[in-house]
Amino acid sequence: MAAGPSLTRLLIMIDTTPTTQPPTTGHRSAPVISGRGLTMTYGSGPSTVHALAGVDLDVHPGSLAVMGPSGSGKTSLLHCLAGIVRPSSGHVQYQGTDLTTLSDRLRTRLRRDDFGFVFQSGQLLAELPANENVALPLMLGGLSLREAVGRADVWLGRLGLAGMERRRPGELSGGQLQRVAIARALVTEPRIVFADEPTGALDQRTGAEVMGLLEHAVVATGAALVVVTHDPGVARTCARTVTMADGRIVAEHHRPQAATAVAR
Amino acid sequence: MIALRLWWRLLRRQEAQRLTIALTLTAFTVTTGVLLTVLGGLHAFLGRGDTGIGSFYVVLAETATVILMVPILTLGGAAARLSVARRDERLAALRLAGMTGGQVGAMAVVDAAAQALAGAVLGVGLYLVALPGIALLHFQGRPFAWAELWVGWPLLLGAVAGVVALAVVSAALSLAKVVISPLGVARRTTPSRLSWLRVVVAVVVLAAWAPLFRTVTTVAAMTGILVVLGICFAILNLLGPFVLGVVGRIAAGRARTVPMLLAARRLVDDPRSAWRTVAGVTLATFVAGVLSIAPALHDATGSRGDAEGAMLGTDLMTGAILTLVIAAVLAAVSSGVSQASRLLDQRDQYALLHLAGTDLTVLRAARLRETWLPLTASVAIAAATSLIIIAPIGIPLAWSDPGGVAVFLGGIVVSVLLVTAAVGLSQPLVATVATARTRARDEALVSRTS
Repeated sequence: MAAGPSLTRLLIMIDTTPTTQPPTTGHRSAPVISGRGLTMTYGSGPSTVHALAGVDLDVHPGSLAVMGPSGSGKTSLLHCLAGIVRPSSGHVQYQGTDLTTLSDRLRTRLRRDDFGFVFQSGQLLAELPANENVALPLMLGGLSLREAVGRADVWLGRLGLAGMERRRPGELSGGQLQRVAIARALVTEPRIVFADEPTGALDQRTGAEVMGLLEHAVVATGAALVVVTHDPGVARTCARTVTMADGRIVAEHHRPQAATAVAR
Repeated sequence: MIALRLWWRLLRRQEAQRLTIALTLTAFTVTTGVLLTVLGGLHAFLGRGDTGIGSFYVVLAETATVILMVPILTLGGAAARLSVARRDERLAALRLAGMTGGQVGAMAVVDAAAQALAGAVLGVGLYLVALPGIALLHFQGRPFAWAELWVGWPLLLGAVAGVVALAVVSAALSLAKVVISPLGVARRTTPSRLSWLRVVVAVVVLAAWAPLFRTVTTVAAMTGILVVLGICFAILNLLGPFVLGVVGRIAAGRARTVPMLLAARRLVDDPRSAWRTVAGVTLATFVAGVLSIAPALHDATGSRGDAEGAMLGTDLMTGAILTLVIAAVLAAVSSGVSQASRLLDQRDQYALLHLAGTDLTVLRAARLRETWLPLTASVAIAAATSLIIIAPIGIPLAWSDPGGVAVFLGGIVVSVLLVTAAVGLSQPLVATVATARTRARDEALVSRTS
C-alpha cells in the first residue's frame, strides 16, 4: 500500500491549506492525531444533548483506552477523531491537516488508507473466505487479488489463524472472527487503529486474549491504537487510559508496563 | 387471540420497516398482476376455440403460461420470504420476552398474509390497468376484446387466494427456525458444490437431440414440440445453477476489483437463488432463440401463399417476444427486490465497510455487478442451448431473415435493460444503509432527552 497513503496526502494538500500544529503536551513523541476543543451537540433549545462538551486529546503511538459509562461520549469521540463525523466545533489535526475541513470523499479515502477499524461484530462479509475479507481494503487500494490475498494470509498467520484462511465467517468462532477483523484493520499498515468495543461480543477469557493480540500487533507496527470500551479489563491492557463522563475527559491514567504484563 | 391483538398493536409502530413493506407489497402486486394477465391471455386463446389451428395456439399459450409460472412463483416466494425475513430479529426478541413459539408463529403468519392480501388486491388493479394494453396486441389477425382477457370472478378470487396461501406457506416454512430457537442465527458455511451429474445428464440429452429430432418429426409434431420444450427447460434448470457456480468460481479467482470479487462470491455462495432470479429471462431467451427461425419459416410458408401459415409465423414471434418481455419484467422486479433485501440483510457489513473507508460508489458497483454477472451468464447459456436445438432444422435459417435475429437480440437487450433499471432503482438504498449506523446513533442521542 505504498502508493495509497501518499496519494491521499497529496490530495489533502491540494484540497486544503495546512493549519498550525496544536500545542504539545510534553509527551516524548509527537502525537499522531490530536483533537482540540471537540464538541458534538444534537438537537436544539432545551433538549440539546452534548455528546462531547469540549474534549482535548493527543493520541501517541502505543495503546490508548477510552473508558466511561454508556452515553459518556466515547464513541462520538472515536467517530470525530477517525473522520467518520464532523464535530459541531473544534479541530482534529492529522499529518498537518485539519480533518474537520476535509470533504467526505477525502475523509473516506483517509479512513481506508491511513486508519484501521475493529468493531464489536458484523464487519465481515459472510460469502467471502477469511483471507478475502482481509484482502478487501488492499484491493480497494488497487492491489491484485493474488497479491492482496498473499498479504492477508501473512497477517492471518501472525494472528494465529494459519490453516483457516479459506474458512468463511460462519465457520469461525467469535474470537477467531475478531482476529480476522484485526488482520483486516492491520493489513493496510495503518498509522492509527480505532477499535470500538472490540471484545464486546466475546466472553471474558476470549476477550482478554483478543485484546492482548490486538494491542501487541498494533504496538509492534509502531502505530497508535485507540480502544473505546467500558470493560476495565480491556483498559488494563492499554498503556494509557482516559476516562470520560458527560462528554468530557475526567481522568487520565498511565500504565507503562501494561504491554509486557499481558498474558497471551 | 393475544397474537392477533399484539400484531395489530405492533403494525402501527413499524416506521423502520416501511421500506421492507413497500418492497414486499411491490413484489406481491407484480406477482398477482402478472399471474392474472397471463391467465387472461390463456383464457382468451381457450375462448377462441381449440379446433384446427386454434388448438395449436392453445398449446402455445399453455407453453408460455408454464414458462412464466416459474418466475411468477419465484417472485411470490421471494415476497413471502421478505415479509418474514426482516422480522426475524423482532420475533426473536418477542420470543425472548416470553411469547410462545406458537404465538410468534401465528403473528408472523398473520403479518405475511396481510401483506400478501394487500399486494394481491393491488395486483388485481395492475391487471385491470394492463388489460387495455394487452388488448392492443394482434393475434390471429385481430386484437383481443376486453371480455376475452377477463378471467372471470372465480379465477380472480382464486388467484388472490393462491397468492395469500403461497405467502402463508412460505412464511410458515421460513419461520420454523425462529420458532425453534429465539437465539437461532443462520450461519453460513462453505456451500456444497453442485454435482457434475447435472452436466453429464445435460450433455447426454443435448448430444442425443439431433438424432432424436429426426424421429420426432415423424411422430405427432404437436406433442413432440411440448415434450422437447419440457426437456429443454429441464436441461436449462439442471445446467443453469451449475454453470453459474462455475462462472462464479472462475470469476472469483480472476477478480481485479472488489465489486467483481463480491459478485463472484455471491454466485459461488448460492448459485440456485441467483439462477431463480433470472430463470424467467433465461427460459424466454431460449424460446425466442428457438423462434428466431420463425420469420424465415414464415417467409417460406408465406411464399406458398398460405395466409394462415404466415399469420402463425408472425404470431409465434409476437408471442415469444411478449413472453420474453413479461419474463423480463418479472426478473426485473425479482432482481430489484432480492437486491434490496440482500442489502438490508447485509446492512451491518455495508455500514461498517463504509466507516472503514469504502466508497459508496464501490458498494453500488458491487450490487450492479451481482445482478449483471448471473444475468449475462444465464442469457449466454440459454442462447447457446437454443442454437443447439435449432441446429438440426438449420442455423442458417435464423440468418436468412435478419428480422428473427433482430427481434431475438432486441428482446435480450430489453430484458437486460429492465433488470438493470430495477437494480438501479434500489441503488439509493446503499447510501441509506451505509450511513444508517451513525444516523441511528444521532437519533438515539436526541431521543434520550425527550
